[in-house]
Amino acid sequence: MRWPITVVVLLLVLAVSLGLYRLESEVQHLERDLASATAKVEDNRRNSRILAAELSFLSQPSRLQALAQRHLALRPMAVTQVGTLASLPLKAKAATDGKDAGGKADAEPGGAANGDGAAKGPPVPGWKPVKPRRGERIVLASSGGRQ
Amino acid sequence: MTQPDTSYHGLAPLASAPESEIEDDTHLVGSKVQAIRTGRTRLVTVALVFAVIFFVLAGRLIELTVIREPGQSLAFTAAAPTKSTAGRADIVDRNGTLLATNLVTASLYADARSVPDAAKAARRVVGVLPELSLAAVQERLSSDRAFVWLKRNLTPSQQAAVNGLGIPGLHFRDEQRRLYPHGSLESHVLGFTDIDGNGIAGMEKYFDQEMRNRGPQGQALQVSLDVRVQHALRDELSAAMDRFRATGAAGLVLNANTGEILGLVSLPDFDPNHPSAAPALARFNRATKGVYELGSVFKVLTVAMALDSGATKIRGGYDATKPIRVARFTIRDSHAKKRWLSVPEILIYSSNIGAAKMALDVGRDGQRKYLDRFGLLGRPSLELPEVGMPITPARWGDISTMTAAYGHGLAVSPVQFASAFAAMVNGGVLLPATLIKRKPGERTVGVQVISERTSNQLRRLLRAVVEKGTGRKAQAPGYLVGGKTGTAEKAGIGGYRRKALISSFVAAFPMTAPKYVVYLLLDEPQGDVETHGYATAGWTAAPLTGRVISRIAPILGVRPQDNQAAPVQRAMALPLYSRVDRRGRKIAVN
Repeated sequence: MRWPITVVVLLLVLAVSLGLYRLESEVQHLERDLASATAKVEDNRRNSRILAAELSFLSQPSRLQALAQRHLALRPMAVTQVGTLASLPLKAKAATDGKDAGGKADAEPGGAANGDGAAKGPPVPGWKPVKPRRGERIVLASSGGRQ
Repeated sequence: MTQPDTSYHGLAPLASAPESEIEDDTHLVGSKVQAIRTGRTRLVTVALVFAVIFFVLAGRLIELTVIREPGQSLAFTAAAPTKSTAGRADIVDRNGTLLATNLVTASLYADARSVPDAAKAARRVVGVLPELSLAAVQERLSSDRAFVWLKRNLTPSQQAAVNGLGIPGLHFRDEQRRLYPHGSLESHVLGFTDIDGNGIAGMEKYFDQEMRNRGPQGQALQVSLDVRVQHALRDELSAAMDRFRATGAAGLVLNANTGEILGLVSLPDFDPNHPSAAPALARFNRATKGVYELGSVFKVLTVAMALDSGATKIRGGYDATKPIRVARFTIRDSHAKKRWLSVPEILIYSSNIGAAKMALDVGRDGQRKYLDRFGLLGRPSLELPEVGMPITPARWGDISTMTAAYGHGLAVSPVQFASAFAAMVNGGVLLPATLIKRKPGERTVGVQVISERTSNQLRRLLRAVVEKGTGRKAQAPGYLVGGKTGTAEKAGIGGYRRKALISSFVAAFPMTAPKYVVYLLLDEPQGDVETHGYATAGWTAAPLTGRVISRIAPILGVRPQDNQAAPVQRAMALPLYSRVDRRGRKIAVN
């Protein structure tokens, strides 16, 4: 009667200690993982702050202006270069032929200013140029003469 | 007797004293047997309770280790951001561009005792950090001290380089550092902090507690500035300051309908990353702290109050034939016409005499009431600690009334004047100027200070000043600029100094429905050959305003309008109401 109990108890003690050991080691493992993950998060956070600061530093308007003046042939926009989409001449029939007119017109930034709806939308990137039919001239813009 | 006694205290004796033994112990008295039995029962009960508890614990242990998935973390909140106590929130502009941030930088120090070869280590450290002096580093490394600074605030690449040397005894310590990536561009708005991260100027000071509360991970403070506008403003102002050899300049761009300040520049300025390197004068904010007698730009307000109070009508006018002499003062016109001038002409030709007489018609009390309503007699509200208090005449008599009419004897700050001017053109609503971006859809509450009708008349008047008056050089084709010049002599010892001017120009555009107000001011500009030696506002500040507006209008998305288009012409139409004699000459009234 006494021996079986002792054995059972001993087995239990063994099982429990084993379990405890496993738990302990697993917790340690997880804690290491957590610590390294937290460190990584902190590191990334720090790096992203540095990058944000660097981005802002590199995109200083004065720096961009100097670079643009040195490397680009761009100038400040003149009043004559500003137009409205609505003032562009419409292409006869071309817009209604374009099969993706509706989809593209939604994405175009000036769509609202145009106000004429998708069908009459002016050419935007992504549109294929319409081939001129015989005897027909495509007028892209007629405001070039006024300077 | 002794044996049963000890058996009550532990389990072991009980286990070795089986039931039969006690049963056989016949010589024991019945009561003793009873006592032992009771004790045994109690012990068994206790043992059972313990056994149950052990089984529960064992079960839980098995559940935790064997059954439970390791993915289910109990400590789920442990990865939340570590709240740093020392640190401030970022500042961003209205488009989200970073203007100020806190960076954790590494500072290099050494435990000199554990550096094996000081001379060699010093050579290698200076090799990657060439700005350090070899002798100083070597001296520190051989000092035998446990802590010596080598360099504060390293860049990440410098840190990596030092790490790469692999010298034992070199360590890094994290330090917080406030960084302003744009340098001096927004210096007067942002202000700066001291080395411990306390805001001591500008918005850094005004929102000091707020920025600490938010912390470096918290929501950034979004100011109303637009970096692109700010840059255009600063670029043009500093070019003009150089050209006219001015001692200083100030400028601001204000949204006329919300009061938001899109650009605020005061020159000379400073680099907030190294504020102590700049002279004290550079840290003085001329746009908000400085108060100046602004000169003729005040005539806009005088005309506004005269029209609004009904003291005169747009068709009315005043005799400006002769200078006014009051006591020992003489009020004369610098663009003298020596004849009767209508109200539009008074503004267009910037007549001091006309404005002074107009102010007398409004009256001293009327003028004070209106100026107070325009917010020019008290300290304006603005999110900066550096806000100047206006200087008003000590005794406000008729002379003060007349001089204040053309902007002398009353000193206000540029930001204060620009707010008042915005109210003149935006339909008569005075809005407090603000440096915080308004939320979309946020309703701005203002005070109606003049009627909408008066505001409409003023728009036409101001447009006429730029079309045919003293502000002709402020034209920015397509943007319908309207505005007014202001040239004031600075007060010196014993009177005004004729050569020391404050030349300024206040403008709004597009004049059909003004969206933005621009106010630029040059402190003591000197004329050059191109301006025929003139340093007055019409030659200095006005063309500068035209350039600034041409640059910022496309950025701000203002659509150019054709000056000659019929609706524009109709909206801006304004007869001059000059009086002409029978031969068509403008007449003088004697």
